[in-house]
Amino acid sequence: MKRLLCALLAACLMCGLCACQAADPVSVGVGDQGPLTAFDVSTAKDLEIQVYGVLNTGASKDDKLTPIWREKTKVTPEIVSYSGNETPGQYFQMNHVAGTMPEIIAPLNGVFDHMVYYKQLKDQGSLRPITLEELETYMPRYKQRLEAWGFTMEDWYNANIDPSEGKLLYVPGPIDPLLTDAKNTSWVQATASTYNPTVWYFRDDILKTIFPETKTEAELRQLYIDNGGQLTYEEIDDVPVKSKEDLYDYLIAVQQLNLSVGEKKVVPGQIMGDTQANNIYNSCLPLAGLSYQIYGHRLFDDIKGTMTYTQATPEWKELIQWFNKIYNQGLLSEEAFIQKNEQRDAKAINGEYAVFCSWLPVTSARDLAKQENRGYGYRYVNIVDFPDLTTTYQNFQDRFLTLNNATGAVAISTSAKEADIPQLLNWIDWNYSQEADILRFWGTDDMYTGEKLDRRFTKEWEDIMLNADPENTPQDYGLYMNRNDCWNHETYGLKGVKGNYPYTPLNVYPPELENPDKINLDAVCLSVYTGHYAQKVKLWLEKPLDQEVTDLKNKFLVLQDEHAEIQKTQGFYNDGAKTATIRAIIAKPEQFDEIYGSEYEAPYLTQELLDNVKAMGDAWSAFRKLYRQSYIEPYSLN
Amino acid sequence: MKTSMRVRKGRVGASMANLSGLYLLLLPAVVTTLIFGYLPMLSNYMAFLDYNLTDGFMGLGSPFVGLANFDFLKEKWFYEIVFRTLLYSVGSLAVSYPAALLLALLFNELRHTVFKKVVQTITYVPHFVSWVTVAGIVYMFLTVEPDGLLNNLRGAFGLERISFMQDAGYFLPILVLSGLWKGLGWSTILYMAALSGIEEQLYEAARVDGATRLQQAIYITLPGLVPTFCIQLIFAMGGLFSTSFDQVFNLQNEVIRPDVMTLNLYTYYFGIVNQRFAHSAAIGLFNGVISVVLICTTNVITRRLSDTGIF
Repeated sequence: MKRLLCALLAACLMCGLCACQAADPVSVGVGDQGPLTAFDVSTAKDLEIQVYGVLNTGASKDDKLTPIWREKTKVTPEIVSYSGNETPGQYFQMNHVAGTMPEIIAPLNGVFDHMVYYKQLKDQGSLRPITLEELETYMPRYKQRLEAWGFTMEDWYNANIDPSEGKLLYVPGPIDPLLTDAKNTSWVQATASTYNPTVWYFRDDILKTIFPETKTEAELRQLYIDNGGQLTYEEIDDVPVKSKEDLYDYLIAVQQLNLSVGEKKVVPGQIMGDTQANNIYNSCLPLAGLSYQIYGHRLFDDIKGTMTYTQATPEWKELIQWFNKIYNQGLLSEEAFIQKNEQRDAKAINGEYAVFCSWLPVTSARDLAKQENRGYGYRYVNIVDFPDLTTTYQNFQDRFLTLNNATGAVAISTSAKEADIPQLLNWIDWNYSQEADILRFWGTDDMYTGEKLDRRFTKEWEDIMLNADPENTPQDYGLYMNRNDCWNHETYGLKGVKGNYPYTPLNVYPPELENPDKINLDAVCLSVYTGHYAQKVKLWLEKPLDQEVTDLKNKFLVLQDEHAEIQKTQGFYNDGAKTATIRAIIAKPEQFDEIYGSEYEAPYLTQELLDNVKAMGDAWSAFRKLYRQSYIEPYSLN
Repeated sequence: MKTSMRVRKGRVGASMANLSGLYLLLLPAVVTTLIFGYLPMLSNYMAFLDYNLTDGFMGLGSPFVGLANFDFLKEKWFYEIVFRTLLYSVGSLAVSYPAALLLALLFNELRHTVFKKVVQTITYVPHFVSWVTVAGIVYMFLTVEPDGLLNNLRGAFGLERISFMQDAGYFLPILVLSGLWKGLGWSTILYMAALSGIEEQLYEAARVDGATRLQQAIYITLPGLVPTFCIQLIFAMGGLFSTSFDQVFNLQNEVIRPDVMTLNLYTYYFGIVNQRFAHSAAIGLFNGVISVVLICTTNVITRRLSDTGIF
């Protein structure tokens, strides 16, 4: 019996261990496979894959695109992602251990341009390196596209190699539109802006009561029509709220009006997107007088040669203290930091916020106001202006055009079978192709006539594609017509690539001049804002980097990896630090300094973290100094 | 002696052979317990490593650091968390145990069968509602917003509106009451089963002797429930260091989190979210060891006091 039990126990343990064992990563024979031959879809088998992405999915009643995607690739993707309580890092870790990593990792952003997650994927050995020969052989469509823009596949490959690995670990994101043949169009030139304004929505009847000289949303729509389909920066910049101090005064003025919607009191503001402290960074940083930059929470100034940790600046602390002030004075909901998102959205839709963050559902709020003839709309307002594109810690006057792009990159994981690599690269190539772009925006060739700027839908399709009939939308046919949404994951599996095609219906159709309600006023305003800042930007073209400058960049990247490690226990993104920030906000004003100091600064803003940022800043400055001296040249759009 | 042993072994063997069909039925349960109950214990090894998932197979190549991950035992905050965890567990037990017993006794006294079954069913239903939903209901009930029922009630009496969910002082009552609402009916099931096992003749004899209903409950029913009560208590002792994670996780929020942090919550946020697996494994191991000690101690005590125990 004893032997039997021992044997049973041993067998169970072995079975368990076997069950838990992660699948061995594919032994990647990159580079040893001999001459490659072009992929032939006609002989390929149907391939079902998992794609890590963050895309919406939905059904189309008459999907015109998916059958084409299947025919061109024979790939059927299933979109998977992390669950609500997880982070991408946890998702990657668990799937790595379980041996269930998706074959394709295709986030729009937040992974390959996020130092912590990218390092984790590298350390786990989850990224299958891609060779230049594979790109040349299996991505002919994009190769052709690059050549049409004056680049070679080798340029693209070299610009995106991971310096610490010496390999390309993902198919890079689409190249900058300013480097494509559409660089001379006004809407692409507007993308030259280095400052993308952070906006808030103001209920315009309240705005008009406090500032009678401002325009309402309806007045601005009419002005757009009267101007023949355009607005100027001066016309939309009529709201005298230009800083967090002005915003505070405005919120106080709203409070004094003592307004209600039905029996519910109007709350002056929902300034941040949600209850999380990091959301204050994501949705309100300009109120601190700082701008978002690449490299996330670190602020850098190439000219001064400095790098600063955002959440260690007095400006950040002042912003948190400002939130403490407006919270304690009742300018935010009392439970603004614990309320459910649904509750927040319901208030926004019902007009219970005088000012709210642009992440909230303004379309529904406008629809309700219109349906019920409430007599108000919402103004889209850029509160903070950076006239010379600098802050105390930042200089973002210069824009460096490069083929390097981790945002929107697509990786093949080591879970993919080696034999499927050609088909997977073909799938990526198809998604990156101009043919696919045109299909996404314009549908099949029987749906339109003309080319580029002159392309127009046929009469039958124009009604569906351009008229906002909720019963018959472009999405019903699997087409993409909205800048801020994506539809069918079969055809938009690689969301980032749409940036390479500028001749979209939204861009090439003349402005709407008959029906004010059809004008996408927010998009018009955003375009005016970005165009305004783009005029102030100096453009530079990056020249090929040699070893000397790459070595300097590598020194920075090594420190950046250390920074990613340190952030596990220190820094603002630690869960305890975020909680401490919220607790400081809801504390009584006289307790703010004590709580902010003892719960956030002391445990999380450590000397080790700051020393690392300082060292990173030194390495960054050395790299940027040489880079600016020898590796860029002025770039002109015309 | 040897002969006697051999005879006993032979009997056991013969007995097992006779009952082989039953043992076969038991096998899936044994295998499942081994795989899901015992096998994960191997991961406690992680508590002694500077664990990095990418070092070797499943991170087992990480350097051995001995007891370095148990440094938390020297920290004051850890004992604050332990104390709070115990407070929440004991607070919940102190209310839910007598309440379940009392409700079972009340059910037992009901004579109208249909009414009894309806009431029992109604009290069981909340058990099947997830903690996510319960937390949503609790929030709607307690919010300071105009929809908050309790605050509206207070308002009707001219009392000040209170944001209960943002005040850690209300967390224990919220925990206890929500736990009671969700689990009270379900907790009576074992007692009801035990009650059905008490022999009817005992009540008949008591009635013949002139015992009142209260006296019957005190002298027959309650003693009949002692074994069940003890076993429930032993199980509860095992969970003393692990408050219901689902409950605490869903009812807490960022504003009060540090003030209501329990061991489970700490392990989740600082271990899983911040990916400090070795640290959370060490706390988990400590938690497990203490739980085993508590179970054994309670088992000894209950065996001595009432001759009831689980082993």
